[in-house]
Amino acid sequence: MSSLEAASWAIRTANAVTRLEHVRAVRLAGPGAQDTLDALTTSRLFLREGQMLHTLMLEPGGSILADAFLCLDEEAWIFLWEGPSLEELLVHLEAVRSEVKAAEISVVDLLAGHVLWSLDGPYAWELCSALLGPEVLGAPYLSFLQLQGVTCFRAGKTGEYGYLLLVPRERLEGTWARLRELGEGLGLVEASLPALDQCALENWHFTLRALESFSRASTLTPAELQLRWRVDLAKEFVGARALREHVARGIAERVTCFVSPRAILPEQQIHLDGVAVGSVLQVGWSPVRKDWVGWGLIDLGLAWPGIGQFRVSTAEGDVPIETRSPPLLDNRSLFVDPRRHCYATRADDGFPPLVSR
Amino acid sequence: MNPELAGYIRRRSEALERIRRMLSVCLKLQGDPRQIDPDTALFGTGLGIDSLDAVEIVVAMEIEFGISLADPILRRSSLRSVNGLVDLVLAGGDGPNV
Repeated sequence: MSSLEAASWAIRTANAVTRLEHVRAVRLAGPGAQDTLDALTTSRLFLREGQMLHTLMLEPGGSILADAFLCLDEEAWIFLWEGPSLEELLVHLEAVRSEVKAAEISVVDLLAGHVLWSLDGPYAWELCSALLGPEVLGAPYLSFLQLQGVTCFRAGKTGEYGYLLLVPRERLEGTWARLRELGEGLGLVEASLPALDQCALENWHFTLRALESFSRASTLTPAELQLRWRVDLAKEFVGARALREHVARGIAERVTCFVSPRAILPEQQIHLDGVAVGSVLQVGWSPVRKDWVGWGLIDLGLAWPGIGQFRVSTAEGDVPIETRSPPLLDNRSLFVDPRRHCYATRADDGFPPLVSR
Repeated sequence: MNPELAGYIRRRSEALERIRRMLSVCLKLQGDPRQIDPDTALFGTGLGIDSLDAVEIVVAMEIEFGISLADPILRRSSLRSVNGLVDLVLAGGDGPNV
């Protein structure tokens, strides 16, 4: 079993930890912080203390700049994002602050003094509570709390129980050792970013890396990517005007999930009855499903799940694909109840299979 | 496009519009229901429903489509996304139509 395969199985059936070196984190405070963040992000900033918001930052033209979580922490905001570097974000932040004439803000790079890990799996709650305390069990999805000096964010992009841990660097070695020790009895595997990304693909969680191999990524807005739930078009933010105009004109394509029995590649054309109707956006082998899972950008009139007549043109000939409604797994986390189940009794708990279709 | 596929897309599109309107009423959503993307998740991210909302949707599915979601496994699988509900409607309540 390859490390990617072992990590995928651990995420789907046990526990996995990943060092999130691609995610950046800052703490923003000051009288201008809220107005600046409001103009920077696409969602309505309606948060209570301890809550998180899954949002986006857009380019002025409406395409995706960053995939982000925004968290309200007393009088400040914690901003976690994937996309621009810290330096790029600071420049952008200041430009937006100046544009909206917001008051001063202060920004602290949290990763100067912390590292960020991700714990994912149907028993991640068990490992995380053993590490940080039983308070973890009461944390609703998209909330965060401070435990033993660690900030624990209840969030993930795999379809399983997920926690992001912001660990102070001075406690890194001890916390890592304790995590590995506790994880020995809980099936813990260290996972790589590609394993997390494959799980995100299977569960229809957007990541910026899903766009990396697609040459037309800069033309895709939240409307094509089915991310409008993260956008409040009634408010003003960077990219809002372009996105409103784009949506008013009507989109021509939509990203749709598919499965394939054979290997295909991003950018390859999708055909129906010999006519090009789309392109493969991203695709990856699913060790759990035992087939290829992908997202295709398909002409809007055909961008529906349940169609098995599509073909992808490859150098080895046409490959049939079938569009599906994601998520593509019956995630174990749907059925694991921390009040009744635990890793030790998993074999006797009678869960349904991970793949039913 | 062959007539069978065209018919499937028409049925799917009609079911989606009904599901969107149903969700919009159940969840008291602001805005145009057509702006709800079909693969939007229901729980957690996406529409962010809670267990009380889920009960409302289960009741509405029974009233609007005559579909019972009494089976807990089918209920959990179908209540994951807007399209999951559409799959259920197209299958007449027996599970995904793929």
